[in-house]
Amino acid sequence: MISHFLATILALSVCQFATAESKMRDVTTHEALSQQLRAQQQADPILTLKPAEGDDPTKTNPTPDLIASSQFLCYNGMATLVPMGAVLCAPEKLKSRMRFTQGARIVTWAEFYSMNRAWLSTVAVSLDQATGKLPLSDEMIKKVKNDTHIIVSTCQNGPISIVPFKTAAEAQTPPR
Amino acid sequence: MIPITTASADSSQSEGYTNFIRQVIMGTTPPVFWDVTVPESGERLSLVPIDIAGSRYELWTVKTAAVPISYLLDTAYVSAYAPEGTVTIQTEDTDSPTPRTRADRPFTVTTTVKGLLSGGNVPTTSKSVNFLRHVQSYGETDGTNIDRNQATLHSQASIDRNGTNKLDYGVTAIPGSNRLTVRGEERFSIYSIKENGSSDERLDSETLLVWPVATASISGIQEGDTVRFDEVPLTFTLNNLYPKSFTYAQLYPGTPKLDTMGQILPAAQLAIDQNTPESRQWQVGSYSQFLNEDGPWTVEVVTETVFGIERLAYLTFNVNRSIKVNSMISTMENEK
Repeated sequence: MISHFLATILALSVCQFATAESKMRDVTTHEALSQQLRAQQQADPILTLKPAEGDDPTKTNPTPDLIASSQFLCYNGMATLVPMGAVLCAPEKLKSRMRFTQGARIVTWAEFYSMNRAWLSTVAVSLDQATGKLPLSDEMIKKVKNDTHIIVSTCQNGPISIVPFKTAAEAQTPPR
Repeated sequence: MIPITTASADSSQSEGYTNFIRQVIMGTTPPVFWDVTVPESGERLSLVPIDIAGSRYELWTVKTAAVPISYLLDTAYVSAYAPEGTVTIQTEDTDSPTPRTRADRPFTVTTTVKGLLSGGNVPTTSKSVNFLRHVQSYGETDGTNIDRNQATLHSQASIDRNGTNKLDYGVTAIPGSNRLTVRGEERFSIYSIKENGSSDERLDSETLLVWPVATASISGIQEGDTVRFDEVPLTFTLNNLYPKSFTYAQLYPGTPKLDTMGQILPAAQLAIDQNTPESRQWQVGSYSQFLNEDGPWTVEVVTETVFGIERLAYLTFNVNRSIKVNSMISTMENEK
């Protein structure tokens, strides 16, 4: 009885479809829908716009998956993602922390960094340095070479990937 | 500078999902990826100057699991010359946060484009945008974890005038040999035009979920059977009940007639309000108490949705419980 009562209450809350004007009809058929689809194909509303041709941008310029284009950092039951190319230095003994461990809880970069400063460090770069218009400073390069932490490049506290700096001559040389 | 807002993602942070905003700065090979730190709900200014190549902003949520899964919630593309475009979809089902409808129902797609320019010196990317329609079947699934890069480009058109276009579609074009059981999604998008220094980027898109038409069958009694004193169990098989629906089996005396309100079988009713369709089977063994007169009776399955009240299946059987006694009456007196 209770289940009937609950079903009735739920039906009343879910379905306010039936009104005095509602008319019951038989459900449509595959044949009727096929006919409707054929008619629509001949009078497709998109034909009211100018025709366009070309490749499908979702195939030629797909949005890369976040995880596939990121690097996991994982430690002590927590994990986060930074853009691939943002990890500038990873000492051998810490490389095991650069893969996802099953059971880890995914958190934001800010939360993860605040909890793992003992082995995680950052280098703050400018946008011009990240986009390869300017080189990293000597001080940054020295830190990356000698530090015993995993080092992530950041811009305004957000992890950012780095495109290698090219001199004007290198930039003009087409890649082989 | 443009504001980055995350208000749309605020509900997912606390349910095992973590949000990330990734800015993809175009113009270098490879592009530069920058994860912008933004509160769960709020906004900040992006300090990247907007140039010809532009930037794409991606709002992702990542589900914590044995193998984490990322979902792209929204994207926006901004460049010096790219116009603005928005897509909206209207259906009869206004209860769902994501536009949804049924395989047999109409829907309307509205595009709005601003910022298109004309003239000889105007870059191609500012003169028009492309409007694309993608379709993708879920097969037998509910669409969880589908690869949206596998969607099929159904049709495309060019929009070269600012303003609004309204496109009315009668039914979905998601592929499927049985049009009743089609399930999947349609995606309508506006893309910028590719030109030197800039790529074809999605300005906006909206996805429409399409669920199958419900079907039902009744077994246990055949059309035209006669029911006497033995109660034959009835089996109702229901497929693809719409995510928000009330479905029931009812009995009434007489032959089938639409709009008849009969006796709903208590063990054969279901109200749902969920994200995906439902299939069920009901076994009903006790219904003879409702058959209170001899003659034809109809049993039918009805579903009520936002699309109306529909009969899914029905059959008629005969009830004959009268007892005919053949006897001869005689008395001993007559024999005397």
